Amino acid sequence: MRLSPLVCGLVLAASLLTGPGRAEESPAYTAFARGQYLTARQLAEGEAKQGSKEAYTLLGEIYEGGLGTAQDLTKAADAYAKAADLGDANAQFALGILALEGRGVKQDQKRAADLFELAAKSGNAEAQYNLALIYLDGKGRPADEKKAAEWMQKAASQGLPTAEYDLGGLYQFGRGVTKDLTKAADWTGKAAEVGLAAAQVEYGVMLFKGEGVAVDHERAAKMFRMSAEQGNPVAQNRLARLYANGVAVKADPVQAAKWHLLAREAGVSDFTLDMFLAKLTPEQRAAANKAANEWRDERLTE
Amino acid sequence: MMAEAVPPCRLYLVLPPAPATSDEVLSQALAVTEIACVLRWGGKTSIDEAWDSQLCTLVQRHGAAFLVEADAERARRIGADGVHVAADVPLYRRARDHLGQRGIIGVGCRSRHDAMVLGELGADYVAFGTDAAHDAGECEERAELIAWWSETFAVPCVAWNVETAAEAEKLARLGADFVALAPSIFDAAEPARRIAEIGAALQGARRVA
Repeated sequence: MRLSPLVCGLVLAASLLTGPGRAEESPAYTAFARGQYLTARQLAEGEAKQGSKEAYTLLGEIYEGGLGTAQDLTKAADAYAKAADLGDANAQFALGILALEGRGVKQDQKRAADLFELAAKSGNAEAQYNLALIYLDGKGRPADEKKAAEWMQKAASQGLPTAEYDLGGLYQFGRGVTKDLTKAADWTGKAAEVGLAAAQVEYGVMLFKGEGVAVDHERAAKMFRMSAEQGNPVAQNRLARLYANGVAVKADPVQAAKWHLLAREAGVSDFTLDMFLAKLTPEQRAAANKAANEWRDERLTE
Repeated sequence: MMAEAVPPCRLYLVLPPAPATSDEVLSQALAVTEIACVLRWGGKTSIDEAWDSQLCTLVQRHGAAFLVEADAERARRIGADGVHVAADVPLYRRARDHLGQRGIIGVGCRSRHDAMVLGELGADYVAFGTDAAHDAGECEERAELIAWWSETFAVPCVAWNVETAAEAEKLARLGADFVALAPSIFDAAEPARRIAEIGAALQGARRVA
């Protein structure tokens, strides 16, 4: 089912705030953390003139996010570049993302790869993960699955869930590493445990089939359910099948229909379940529609 | 409230025998319209089988089921989801032996008797309507069978050989769970657009019903 270990896509620069190396004691950062963006910008400009790389990074974030000022990606890229030159890994990573996407700077995949590599070598997990993706993709660096796997391993070892999941995929298909279904299940399971929906459905399949892990239908059903509740349509489809056939859960036609309707809406259709749905009584179908509506409403209010 | 409880009537495509349908047209149709199932009609040579195998992959990648006509062994070889067979008890039994309980076996029925017998044996759906072009009398008969069946029986029913959006909508209102389009739709100009129009009509039927 996992088509490619690249399914998670790129991790964007959302976690800079908690990244390593931040000078959390600086007055600019304190103001920033309180949401006093105007003060933060003023203070950061002062701190930057004193040569603080973290202050430049903070300015980059303020301009990139348009926080208390108009968004200005060129200014953001300039500020990140200064901090990157001074060796700030967060800025190297953030600028790498901008270069990758061509936002605020010319799109340049090679430059993005170079920046990711700098940050990756300082231990930035997101940068390690993105560098791994670049080696898999072969854009910005010649494709090299072995290097991809090495960086993926580093990022995963730091507990980055998307990296754990994709490392599981590399082991599952033997890309850049020796194929090893046990390791595939272990890493996928780690990402599943911390709540990554794509990993939960994948791990559910492994538990169901006993691939790299002992067969455990109950636990598989739990994984499908957690992923389905998060809105993963493949998991919704698998959960519907379990309910329709009474496997690992008590057969429940209304629940089966509910999850099938939700999965189908999200693009995962299933002719067998369509036929199952057609066999239900009008009352059961009404109950399933109601349950599906309630599920949707709950998601909207979350 | 009950309006929503009407099951959505889903589209079922029937591909003509000759490999005249380019996979491009089929891809297009699958991309723009929600299709539950695609049946390959005819196609008995080994060249057909290679072609079918490709079609099967394409159809399943879009999340739809792929059925072949009659030949359960071929269905199993190419990894299809099942077969569509004529209403004939030994034929049905052989297909079931080949495909097991998980394979889909649909049956084309000409009479109430056919449908009841095969429905009881475990057919996954019963289809009503003639294979060839039909006249007004046959259309009326099909409508009657659909209405009667859906009122009484749980096994899903398919309205067969449907040519227009108006027909599709009418049969959906009468209780058809699936509408199978006439294979000739692929010979018309812009088949993907016509299929999409019929798909849209079915959604309308669902809302009003």
